[in-house]
Order: sequence, then C-alpha cells, then structure tokens
Amino acid sequence: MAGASASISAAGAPQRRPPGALARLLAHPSFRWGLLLFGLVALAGVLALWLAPFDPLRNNFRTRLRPPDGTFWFGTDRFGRDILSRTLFGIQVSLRIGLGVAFVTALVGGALGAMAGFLHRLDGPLMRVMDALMAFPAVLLAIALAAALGPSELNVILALSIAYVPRTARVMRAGVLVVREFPFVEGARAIGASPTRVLLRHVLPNAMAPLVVQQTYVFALAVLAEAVLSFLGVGPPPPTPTLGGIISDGRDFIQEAPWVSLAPGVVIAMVVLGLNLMGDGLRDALDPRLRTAVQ
Amino acid sequence: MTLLSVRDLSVAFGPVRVVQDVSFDLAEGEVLGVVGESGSGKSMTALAMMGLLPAGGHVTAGRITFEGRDITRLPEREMQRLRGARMAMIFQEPMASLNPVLTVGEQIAEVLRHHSGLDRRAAQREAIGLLKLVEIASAERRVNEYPHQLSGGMRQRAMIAIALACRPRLLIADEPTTALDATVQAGILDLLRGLRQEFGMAVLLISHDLGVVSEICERVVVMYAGRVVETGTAERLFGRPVHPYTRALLAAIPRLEGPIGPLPAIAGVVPTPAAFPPGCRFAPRCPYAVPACEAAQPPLRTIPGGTDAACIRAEELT
Repeated sequence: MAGASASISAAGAPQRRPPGALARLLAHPSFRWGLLLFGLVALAGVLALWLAPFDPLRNNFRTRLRPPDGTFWFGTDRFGRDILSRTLFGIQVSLRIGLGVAFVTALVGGALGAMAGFLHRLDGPLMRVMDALMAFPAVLLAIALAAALGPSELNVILALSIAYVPRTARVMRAGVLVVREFPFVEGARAIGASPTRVLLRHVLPNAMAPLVVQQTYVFALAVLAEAVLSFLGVGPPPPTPTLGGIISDGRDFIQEAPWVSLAPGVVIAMVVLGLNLMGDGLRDALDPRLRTAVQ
Repeated sequence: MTLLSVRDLSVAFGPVRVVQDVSFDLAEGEVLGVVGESGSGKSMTALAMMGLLPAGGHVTAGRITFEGRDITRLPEREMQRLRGARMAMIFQEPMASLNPVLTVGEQIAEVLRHHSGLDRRAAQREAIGLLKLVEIASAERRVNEYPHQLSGGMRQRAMIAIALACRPRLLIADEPTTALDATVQAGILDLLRGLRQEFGMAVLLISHDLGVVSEICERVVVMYAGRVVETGTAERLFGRPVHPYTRALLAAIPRLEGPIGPLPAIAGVVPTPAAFPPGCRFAPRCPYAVPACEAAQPPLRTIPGGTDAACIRAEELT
C-alpha cells in the first residue's frame, strides 16, 4: 500500500506527505473535545493571577457564605473568600500535582518497566515488587504515604507517584516485551549496537506510545486522588487552595451553601473528562494499525 | 585465503541440538550458498556466526574462526566491534527489519558513526552515497524518508546499504529475496553480485531457493536436520548431485518446459530437533534407504568425481 501511494505521488503532482501525528490528532473528534475541555481549565489556571477578581487567601467575615451573585460569581465560602478566585488558583495547584505525578511516574515507572522488559534477570524481582505495590488500592496507599510524609504539595506528588508507578511500569514493560522481538531489533544488534543502545534508540522509541496514552489517565487519576487527599486533610495544607480542598471546605455546608463545592467539582470533572478524551485520541493516533483508518 | 572457517559446530537449546557437527570454509571474496528446508538449521548456523543466537541457544561444540580468531570465545564487547564493521547480516523480512521511527538515512548513519566515528554531516553524506550504491533512485530525497514510505524492494536495498556501510569482509544474507516478488528478487541478486565484485567481500547466502543459489554461488552446502549432507562446487553439486536429499531438492524445482504434471515433492517433513532419528536423518524420507542407513550417522566423505556427501550408498546411486 505504501509502495502504491509512493509511486503514484512520484508519477503525479508534487509529492504529498502522509499527515503527521499532530494533524491526525487534531482531526480526531474526541481529542479535539478533550483538548477544548482541558485547555479551557488549564488556560484559566495559567491566567489565574489576571482572571481572579479577589485574593484567594483573604478572609472577609462580612461576606461569609454568599450565594453566587454579580460580585462573587460562584459565591463565597465560610471565611468569605471568593470561590471563583480560589478555584482558579486551585487549578494551578491541582494541575501542578497532576503534571508532576504524570512526569515522575513516566520517568520512574518507564525506567523500571523498560528494565524489567529488556533484562530477563530483573524482570521477576522488579515486577514482583510492583505487584506488591499494586496489591494496595492506589488511593489508600497514597493516603498512608501522604499522612506519613506530612502535608505539602511535593509530598502529595511523591505519595501519588509511588502509588501509580506500578501501572506505568507494567504498561512500559508490556510495550518493551513486544517491541524487542521485532526483526529490526535483531538488525540493530547485527550492526554492532550495544544492549544499552538497542534499548534506548531502537526499542524505547517504538514502545512509548502506550505509555504516553497511559500518562494522560495517570494525570487525571492524580487530579482526582489529590482531591481525595485534600478532602481527607492530607493534601497541601490550608489555606492553599486546591480543587479537592475547596470541595472539602464546602462539605460542612453542603445543605446551606452547595455552591462552595460546585465550582471546583465541575472543574475536576472537566479536567478528568478532557484528559480521558485526549487519551482516547492519542491512542488512536499513535496506534499504527488504526493510522490508515484515521487518515 | 580462508576468511571464515566453521569446524564441527554444534548449537543447542538446552538438551535439543539444532545444529550438529557443521563444518565449512569460506575464502575471501567467495560466495557460498547454504540451502535446506525450513528447520534444517541454516539460520541458526548464521546466527551463531554473528553471535546472535536467540535466548537459550548456545554453541556447545566446535569453532568459528573469522579472520584468524575463534569468535565463539570472543567477549560480547569484541563481538559488537566486529558486527556491522567486519561482518554484517541482512535478514529475511525487509518490511520489519528497519526501525519504523528512524529515517533510512539515520539508520545508515548510525552504523557509520558507531564504527567509523564519522560526524553527523559526513555520515549523512556517506548515507546518500550508499543509497546510490544500492541503486535507490533519488537518494537525496529517500535518505530523509521513513521505512514505511519505501517499497519492499527499496527497503531490502536500504538494508543492504546499512550492511555494507562499513565495507564488511563477510556478508551473511539470510533469505534476502524470499519476501520479494520475482522481478525485485532478480534486481537484488544482481545488486549483491555486483557489490561483491566491487568490494571483494565474501557472501554467505542462505536460501531454500536453489534457483537463487545456482545463480550466484560458487560453492554450496546442503543442510538437512541440523547436519551438512552434501557440499561441493555449485557446478558439481547441481550437475552431479550425490546425496538423495539434494537430488530430491533439485527434482522439486518446477520447470517451465515439458508437460505439466503434479509438482514433485519430498514425502514427509523435516523431523523436529527433539526427534532426530539416530542414523541418517534423511533415512525415513529417503526412497533409497536400507536398514544400514538407520544404524549410524553417515560421515561426510569425498565421493570420487563428485562432491562431499554424507550417504553410505553414494557410490551405488551415482
């Protein structure tokens, strides 16, 4: 098929290149929706400093638990703090944590998984440790770790990364196991490439796609889990606004002032849905078997 | 001068011996064909030479002397220095033997930079030269293309370019034309023949296609069930085959002339390595087998006026 299209383009008009990965991604409907949802939230978070009408940390006891109105679009909490401003800054913290966890797990889990998949001797020991970690429910493990480490943004990233590393490692290992059997890997050895070189230059780049997709889910899971940790009081300490923290603040007034939890809740839903949709799009765009279908 | 010498080579996976007592020599610049059905051990012999046996496989006995050194005892690091530089290999599946995420140029440049220490620029220039050498049209454009943008024949040519990048003394070609259609096949064979003359490298051509082998090989080794059953010059082997297996293989080549009949075939299949018969391994499928054939493995011996064959009835049958 590739040969046929090549000869046609050679014979006919100027050569047309097959659409690149980015073009394929942007043509994917669910990726576009995901990007829109996540992009809106992320943009709002980035521009929080300019968008937020009030100081997210300043208490004002004359404006306690105000319902949404012209001044306070999303209402205020029990300390009179503007929910909109807190949510905007909360997005910053939550997305930092999500990104941090996605990054750390990709690095650590990716390295562990690649070694387990590539080096027979390490496979057993490494993956048994991962299995042991995975035997705990991830959130429970993260709660225990976060409680032990103490409440701070960095510790939340650390705790969640440890909890989610096994998933990343498994995905990476599976990819490496498949790719290392491809003939071009033998070909690389046949030209004298060392094992390290074979792994880094030939196996990993071809085994990355599932990991990239997986990390969008890990990102979403981390944002959710951060909300849970903050809700339980082991997240970043107050008065730092985090999405989960604001929801947790609203818990005691859910009857009288449901708006406190509403805005951050909707934002979390948008982030998670957006990331999941983007993950679906990425999966389709990176899967070589579906590549032609998307074209 | 002898470039490569294989002596009594045995390869085993655990208790299963897939290659046994294989010996042959390859002179500088010579083209040697290794033929046999699937499962005859020809690919394992080649991989043993490259030191690339799959996990679990070991050379259990014998020597492989390349440029005067026994490479079965060479440390892995030394082997890495040989592979791609002094000895190179091209594989059966051109479709899957190139890395899909690197351009053709990058893959050729990789060998050059690795072994010859060329810088990026020089390697890229050399890559274009190599693509021209293997007769790929518009090499300047192709060098920046990815494998999926090339046809099967072009990919095999690109593979050959990678293998030849460092001017190896020995090229092992494992079924280089099997996955290609007939016209492309002829082109690749012509190319190999031309390149061998140009560089004077030795070629070990592995194939189950006797037509391909008869076209470009000077000497031929016929393997069956992990052993060499017959070896000799191409002229003698194709002109006066001695071993019943070789004769059956030659008889199985479809011919264009003459009446159309059912294709002659060798009854039965190659036994699996775990169930090799104790005597002559071809005996169960051999129309000339006598009870003595199953008693002991016949040694390879020189048949007067013919090839070297491992058959106790060689004289009576010729």
